[in-house]
Amino acid sequence: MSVREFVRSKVPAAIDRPGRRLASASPLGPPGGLMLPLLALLAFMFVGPIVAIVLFSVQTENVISLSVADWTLEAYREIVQGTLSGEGVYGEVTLNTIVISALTTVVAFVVSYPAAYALATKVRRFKLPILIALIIPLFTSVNIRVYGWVLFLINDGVFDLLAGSVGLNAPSIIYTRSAVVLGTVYVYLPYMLFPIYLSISTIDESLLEAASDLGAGRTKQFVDVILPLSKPGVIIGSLFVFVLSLGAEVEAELLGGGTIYTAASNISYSFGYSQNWPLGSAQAVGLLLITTVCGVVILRTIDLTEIASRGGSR
Amino acid sequence: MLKAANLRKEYGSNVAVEDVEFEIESGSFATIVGPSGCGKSTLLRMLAGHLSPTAGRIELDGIDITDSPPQRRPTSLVFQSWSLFPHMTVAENIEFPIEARDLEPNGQVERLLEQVRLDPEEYADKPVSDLSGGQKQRVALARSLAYEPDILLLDEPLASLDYVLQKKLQRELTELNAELNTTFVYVTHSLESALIMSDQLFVIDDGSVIQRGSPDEIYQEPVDTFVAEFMGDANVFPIDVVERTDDAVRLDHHALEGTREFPYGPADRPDPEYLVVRHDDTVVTPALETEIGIPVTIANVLNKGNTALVEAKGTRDDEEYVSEISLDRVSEIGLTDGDEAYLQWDPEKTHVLPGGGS
Repeated sequence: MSVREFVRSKVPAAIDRPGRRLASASPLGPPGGLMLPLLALLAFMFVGPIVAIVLFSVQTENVISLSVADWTLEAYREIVQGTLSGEGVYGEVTLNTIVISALTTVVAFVVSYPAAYALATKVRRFKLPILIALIIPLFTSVNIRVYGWVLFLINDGVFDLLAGSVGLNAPSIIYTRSAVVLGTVYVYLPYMLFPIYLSISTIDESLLEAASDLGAGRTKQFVDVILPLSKPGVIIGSLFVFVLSLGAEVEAELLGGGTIYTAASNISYSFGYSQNWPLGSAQAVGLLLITTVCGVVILRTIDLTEIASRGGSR
Repeated sequence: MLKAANLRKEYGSNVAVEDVEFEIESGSFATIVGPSGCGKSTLLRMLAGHLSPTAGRIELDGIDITDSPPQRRPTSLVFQSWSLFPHMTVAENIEFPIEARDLEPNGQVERLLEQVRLDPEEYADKPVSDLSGGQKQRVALARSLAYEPDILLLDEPLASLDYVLQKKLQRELTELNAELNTTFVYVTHSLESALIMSDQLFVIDDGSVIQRGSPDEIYQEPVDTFVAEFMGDANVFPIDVVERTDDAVRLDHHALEGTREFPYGPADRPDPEYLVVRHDDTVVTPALETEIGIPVTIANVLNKGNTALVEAKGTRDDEEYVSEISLDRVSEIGLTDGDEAYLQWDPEKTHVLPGGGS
């Protein structure tokens, strides 16, 4: 074994990569220490509540203090039975939630992709103002923004006024599933738009030049180069929007007007109105499982480190 | 034949390429060489169709292609960054132009990979991210050649490779050019690659072609001081013109010990400003052995491997010269720092040149 081979065998291959050099020369100390505050925070604020919820979900009905010793799967049994038999709200709630999330994802994608593409490649002059305009609503409370839509859509609201002024008598969509989807699309749109925008803007422009040089027209350039290279953004954006919409509560409550139940609004109902914490907890655990499965399945299809390291085509 | 006529590119008030004219024989290897920012890449991108010229014409075999888009040009550009499609395998990259140009696939991938010396069995199905720099370069070359372009345009494709690999690929490119019926137009700032590979050389500075010819012609007869310095490290002596005739000039410089006449013409050439002697055309010995030499003090002897660079100071403060001589010679003469000696050269090796460059 030569000296070089010996050193190689002792040094992890990753150390050769430029990205690693910064970490090893970090003035702030070892990477483990840098992660510590975040890990501590996550332990308290993320893992803690999940453990509490899981524990509550196996308590008997209507308890508000934990006694871990006598546990029961009663709440889960009720949900599974209700869903399977079609009695009660669970079947409808599950369907509603998935339909709303799926519709939201599709609509957000259809609206975002062309806009993200334009922002990343064509829009030059007003790019910054547009991006700022897209970000600013995120600084405002979801409730306020959704109430805005309620005021717009409500009977004798802005929508009726505008429609009436041009002689239209269109029925408002408020308190329908469409209104809820409108709300979720509006609230979660940036989570679709920005990942797509970023993945399109990191596509090396010379790739498109190369494609045109090699004979590709606009369609082939888009289908064979831009679309596949923006796929990670589309996948991440869809994951964000789908998962966030699964948990949409305010939109369902305000724009559904108590007629459209989603998983999240049902959980909130169990914790609040019916004071059945174990049942609410069990539903929350169920939702969490669905979300996790979606996340794992979707993230397995893409390579996050590849996206993070993609800057050029070399 | 690829022909450019009055080709010009302006960006606002900035002229990147200024009225360039040239003709390149079909199948030859032409190199456009010049320092960074001289307009050579702009010129190449106009030939490829990625930039439209402000004025002028590009013709290929008598057909005007100035306005045809890159998709429809029989040219192919190999990019400096290679620009391989990162989400495709080697074979998919090479098939891209075959599909895009609606050509019949008939084993091109295998043939092309063999042409650029990659084993098709090993490489065809590899993702391009698994390739080394040199391999990527080969795949980019294969992809560009896939639709048999008439003209292959190369934009410093070897710049980011290590020296040994550069030399190897330079040789391979020359061989490939001889093998194929394709004209190669190569852009580089590296004098060495220009000299090694080309049939025809265009030296560019400030958007204009300053000199054209075979590498040998340009090396032997640089048209001005810029070209001379660009084509090889050289000592430059500012001189005064004492007298000028149609084919000669009498110059004054203290190194010449009086005035001296050199051949210089034609009559309409601008007055010479400099006397230029390449480092490796000079020698340093303790006594004056040739006709022209100047007294110097040795400042430093740098070992370059096969030769030594002798740095010497002249009698005046701002005079610094370099001579490149063999290591054997250095030890034979026994040059050490602080020695008094003469930097001298054969009058034949003297270039008397007008100024130039920026």
